[in-house]
This record gives sequence, C-alpha cells and structure tokens, in this order.
Amino acid sequence: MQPCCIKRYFHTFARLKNIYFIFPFIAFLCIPAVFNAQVSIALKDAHTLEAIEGAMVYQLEKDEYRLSDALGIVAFTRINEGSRIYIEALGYESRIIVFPDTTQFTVELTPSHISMKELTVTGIGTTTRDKSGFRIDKIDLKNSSAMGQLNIPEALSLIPGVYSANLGNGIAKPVIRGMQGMRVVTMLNAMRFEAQQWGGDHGIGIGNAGVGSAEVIKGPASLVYGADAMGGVVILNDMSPLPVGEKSLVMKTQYQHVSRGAMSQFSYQQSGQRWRFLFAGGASSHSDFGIPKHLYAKNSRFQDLQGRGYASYSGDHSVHYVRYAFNAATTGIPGHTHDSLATPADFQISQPRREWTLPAQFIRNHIVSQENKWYFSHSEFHLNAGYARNNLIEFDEKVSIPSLSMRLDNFLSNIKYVYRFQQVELSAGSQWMHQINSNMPDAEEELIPNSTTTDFGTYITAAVTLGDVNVQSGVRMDTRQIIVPSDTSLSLRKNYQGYNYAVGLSYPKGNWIFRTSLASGFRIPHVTELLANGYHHGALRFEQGNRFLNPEYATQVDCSAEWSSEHTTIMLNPYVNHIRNYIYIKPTSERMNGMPVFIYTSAKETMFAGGEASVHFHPHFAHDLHIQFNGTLLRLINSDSASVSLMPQPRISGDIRYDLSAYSKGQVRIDQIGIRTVICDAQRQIAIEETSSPAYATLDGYFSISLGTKRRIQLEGGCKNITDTRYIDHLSRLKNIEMPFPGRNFYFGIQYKII
Amino acid sequence: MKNKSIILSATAAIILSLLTSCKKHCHDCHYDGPNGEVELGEKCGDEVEELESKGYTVSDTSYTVHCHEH
Repeated sequence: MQPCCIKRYFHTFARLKNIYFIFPFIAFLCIPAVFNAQVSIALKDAHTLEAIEGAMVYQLEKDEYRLSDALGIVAFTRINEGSRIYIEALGYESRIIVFPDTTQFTVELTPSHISMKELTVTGIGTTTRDKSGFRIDKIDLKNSSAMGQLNIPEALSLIPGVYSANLGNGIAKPVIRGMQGMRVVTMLNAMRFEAQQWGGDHGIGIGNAGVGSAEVIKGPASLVYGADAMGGVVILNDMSPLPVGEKSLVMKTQYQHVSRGAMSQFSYQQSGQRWRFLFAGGASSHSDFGIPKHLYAKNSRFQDLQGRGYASYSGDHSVHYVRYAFNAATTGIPGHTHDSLATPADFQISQPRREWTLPAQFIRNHIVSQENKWYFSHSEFHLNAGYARNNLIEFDEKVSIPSLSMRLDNFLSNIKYVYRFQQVELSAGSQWMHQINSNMPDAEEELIPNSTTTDFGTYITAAVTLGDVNVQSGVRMDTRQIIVPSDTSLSLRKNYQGYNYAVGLSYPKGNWIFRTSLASGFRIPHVTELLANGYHHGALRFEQGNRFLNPEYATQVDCSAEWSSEHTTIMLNPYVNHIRNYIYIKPTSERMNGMPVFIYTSAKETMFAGGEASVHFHPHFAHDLHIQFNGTLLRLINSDSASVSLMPQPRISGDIRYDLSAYSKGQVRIDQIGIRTVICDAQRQIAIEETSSPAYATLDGYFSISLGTKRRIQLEGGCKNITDTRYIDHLSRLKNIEMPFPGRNFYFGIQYKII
Repeated sequence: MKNKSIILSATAAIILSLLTSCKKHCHDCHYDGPNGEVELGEKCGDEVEELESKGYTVSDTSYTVHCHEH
C-alpha cells in the first residue's frame, strides 16, 4: 500500500475515535451464539426411574422457567453450553446442573421430603443453599395474605431473628437482629430502595402487590450492599416469570374485621419465548383498629394504592428488564399530640373512623429501573440503572398546610462482571448512588436540611469449592460524600471512606450443613443524626444532631448447623456482632418550650450476641402434618446498655399445619388448616427513658379451601389473636401511650384465578 | 377474545376508581372562642386553606381555625 493511502486510512480511523467505546458492546452482541437449536432434558426418579411430571426447570442465565411434561421432558431453545439449570420438583431434592455440550440428556432426582438445596442467590454468587457460606432466609410472599398478614414487615417476622416495629397498623418496618431503620438496607430486585427510613414513624414504603418473595440477610452485608447494610438486608423480588407459554390473571380480595379493612389486588403475568410481562396492583382501606374492651386506636386508619410491573425481553445472549413500582399511602399517625397532659385514654375512642384527619402522613413512592444481563459460556455482565422518588408529606396542625414536606430523589446504577471456571466463580462490581433530599417550600417546618449524598463502592468476590468445603469471600471499598448547601446555618461538607470484607464457609456432609462466616459492615451517620435541630412531634422531644459523629463499624461472626432427615429439620444459629461508635440518642438536662432536649451521641463499643433455632417436624404416620417451632434470643453484652433501645423481646413461635389437599375430593377441597402461636418473654434490657415490657402470648388460626375441579377459586380466612389478648410489643412506637395491638381479628378472603 | 375483554374491563375499573377518588376533601372546622369551641361546619378545598391560613374573624378578633377531629 502506498504511504499516502496509509495516511488516508489513519486519518479516517482517527476521526472515528469517539465511537471506540461502543465497540465492546457491539462485540458482545456479535459474539457467535454457541448454543444448540433445541435441547431436551429428561427428568427421572433416581430410585424407580419413572418420569417426573411438573418439575420446575429454571435456566439461571435467562431467568426462564419451564415445566416438565407427562413424560418428564423439558425442552429449551437457545441454551448455551455452560449454562446452569436449576431443577426443583415436589418430593425431590433440588439440583443445579451445568449444561453439557449435547442436545439430549437425563437427570435423575433423589426423592426427599425436605430439600437442603434450594436455590440461593447472593451478591457473591448463585448456588444451592447447602453450598452458600452465608445463610439467607427466603419467604414466599405471594400468599402472605392467607395468614392475615397486613404488610411486608409482618410477613417477614415469621423468619427467626426478624421482627416488625409498628406504629399502629399502617406504619411498619423490619427489624433484623435488633437493627432497623437506617441500619437495614431494602432492595427492590437489583435496586436499592430509599424512603426516609431514618424516621421511627416512617414505614417500609412498599406494598406487597406483585411481590413474589423476600430474602433476608441477617447481620452486616456491606460487601455486596454497601454502606448502611449494618443490621441486614431485605431483598424484595417481583413475582417470578411464569413458565414459557403460560399466562395468569388472578384477582383477590380480603376483609379484616378488626379494622373494617378491605384489600383488593390483581396480578397479570404472561411469558412467551422472548417477552414476559407482569402487571399487578392493589388498593386497601382500613379504619381505626379495634383493641380489647371494645375501644379503637384513634387515628390508626390508613389507605393505600399500589402497583408494579415489568416487561422483560430475552435475547440470544441477554435478558433485559424494565420495572416500575409505585406506592401511594395516606396514614394516620396515632399517639401524636401537642398536649403535655395527654393520657392513654385520650388516644382510645369508642367509634372507629376512616377518613383521614390530623395528624396524617402522605407518602408517594415511584421506582423505575432497568436491568440488563449479558451471558456467555463462562461469564456474565450485569448493568443496572434506576431512579426512585419519595415524597413524604406530614400534616400536623393544619389540613391544608403541611408541617413537613420532603422529596427524596435517588439515582442509582451498578455493574458487575462474573467469570466461572471449574469450581471457581469470580466477580467484580461497582455501585453508584446519588441522593438529593429537598424540603418543599410549602411546609411550615424543616426537620433536616436540604442535602445531597453521593455513594461510590467497588468490590471483588470469589466463590470456590474445595472438595466438600465451599468458600465465599470478598473485599470492598466505599466512599460517601454528604453536602449541605453553604447558604444555610447548617452547612456541611463531609467525606467518608470505608473498607469491608466477608468470608463464609459451608460444609455439607450427609444430613448436615455447617456454616461459619465473618462479615463486616459500616454505616455513615445520616443527616438527621448530624444536623437535626427541631421538634420531633412523633417522639415528643426536641432533637439535636451532632456533626462530630463517626461512622459505625460492625463485625459479625455467625455460625450455623442444620441437620435434616426425611421427617425432621433442626437448625441452630448463634452469632456475635461487635459494633464500634454505635450512634444513639440520649436526653440532656435541657428543655425547649417544655419539651425535653435529646442529642445524638455514640457508644464506643457495643456487642450484640444472640441465636436463632428452628425445628420442623412432620411425623411418618402423618406426612402432611407440619409442626414447626422457631426461637429467637438477642442480648446486649459488654457495653453501656443504656445506649441501645428497642431490643426485641425473646420469642418462640410455633406453627402446626395440616395439608389436606391430598385427601380432599370433589368440588370443595380443604387445602390446609393451621394454628400459630407467638410467645414473647419480658424485655428488661432497656435504654435511657425506656420502660420494660411484660411477656405475652398470642394464638392465631387459619385455613384455605379450593373450589371447583380446576381449583380456580380459593377461600382463605382465619382469626388472629383468638383469645383477644391485650398486649403491647416492646418494639411498638405506641408503647409510651399504652396502646395495645389489635384485638381479636377475623379475616376472610377470596382469590379467583381467571386465567 | 374473552381474555382480552376481561383485561380491558379490569383496567377500566382501576382507572375509574383512580379518577373517582380524586375528590375534594372536606373537614369539620371550629375555633376556640372566649366561651368555648365554636363550630364552623364542614368546609372543603380552598375554603379550608383560607380559613387555616387567615383565621376566622369575629368582631375584629381573629381566631385560629382547627379543621380536624376532636
């Protein structure tokens, strides 16, 4: 080639330099598809070699489900060599299979009443539960209403170690091993969700319509979830896609008599070869709830409207989701008064009401996100982005002029690269969050100033199987910048940095699974804790921030042992969590207009120790009878005990359920009947200005019935607090006004599967 | 066709409920006069806003108006 031609080509190439960055993405899209046209998998019983019909086969990379037919056959198209398949069938042990380079193969499943190999998806990797070095509890939320649960935190409280901190019926947030609010991170699918959870009178902010399951990580989890994941993480997952080719439309409604409350929800799902959809929504309306002795909790009423949906496209090497969720709630704030001479009787009324009155909280949450995953033979690339807006408006003394009106805008994105070879899985990722907190001009007061918060974190993890031992580990670095504009008297500019790590081991052996993990977490002080300077009417105090607070650092050692046989599963899980610079609020000797002044401060060393245990038994002579007991204990040791308030009460919960679906015939079938009890011991480990709480016990009963040969109609109902016990949980924000929890509550619901 | 009708009907019902829920909110208002509470009756929308921001004037005396349950 002549030199002049080389020059011409060089100049042309140089002009194109700005589009070089798109080449990697084009390359991803153009990688030749190394996949088979169609693959069929035959599922058989390992003992009898009979075909297994109705098994759920989940192709992990594509997030795609298919069911095995009457011959036990499942057919996939566009499946890559090296792809992973998770197989779950009732009465069999679940398995993860790496797809071989073939078009047809057989998988034999071992019969088992209890599976220790449920799928576990953590930020470190996707594996079966027995191979995960970190214990993750998963709960199905699709049918949480069957037990009369009003909201997500109440449903999560079925998990050992997890409680619900309530302010009446309409405001609740999860408490994990004694930590709540700013110490618990909530994820909606792959996106972190922020909804002003720093306030004790601010709930979780998400409805349960369209939510399929929740996973709870107990203890510090900053390695994958960044700053603030000190107490734990709650991951809420949309309803999983249906098997390919299926669609579903379900409507349900439920009535709860204690609050004259009605809830209606619908969900529509459709799964095709490429496209999948979910649309779900609901509305509820509850009046003031009844308490024992025929009285009602004044202003505990609430209404909400919620919706969620996603559209998903599955390409040859990729899967993409666009998700949207909203929640609009109007909630009364019970127990709120400006009267310094108020008594508990002032908050209990003889007739319930439903229309909103003062004081009330209006919450509007909108979350939109896009998730992308490109996958190859041995690797994956994830790219996610999202935006969330939270509006929190409180009316205190006037119905037309808000006392507090704040808007929180949250911009998030994260990327992750995963590489697998042999028994090793490596990943590296980054997360970014930019948060803008604004006070609206129409509000009379400001509790916290306008501020921006910017987070950046990066991490690497490794998961290795060495013989029978599985090891997962990682390290992470985070930065956070908090800026309060300098045109206010509370100006602030602070930069924080934190380093975290985690290492977990699992050793499954025969009927046993042994786990041990060491994990760190850290939490940066919130703007509330740094700069609060105002009346917190909900807590009847004047709060002062402390801009010299340091971040909290936590280190948890967690051990667990599980033993499972055909009829019994026993689990023991002790742990110790050491925290430096634990931030709390304490009273001073000052008063401001008659209200006591509290200031944020920190305790140098705080140590939590506790344990969870569970037993699940179903006898040989009655395989469908399930007897389950969970126990939770948490103590504060080796610290200034006055610094930590709202320690959950020791708890034992029991559930006895009979699954009758196999015995019922005809048009009316009883699916299950059950009773549930919760027994809490007294809590005497209390902080400054806190009172102890007595022991209590409650008893619930529930049932569900299917109608019709195709079981399209389900009736569910029961009674909560059958004995009409008057009790106040230690975590209740209404304890100071002696407001008990709801009394006897009959509930009844109908669910109709239209398609 | 039947499925499509059901979905459209459900969607219409939801939209209708959202639209009909956007109604003016009314509240019972009162003020604390020299001889006790004085009821002003049910007030709605802009009238409530005006009363709460400007108060209620009786014989050159302006009283703070409260529009909430007792």
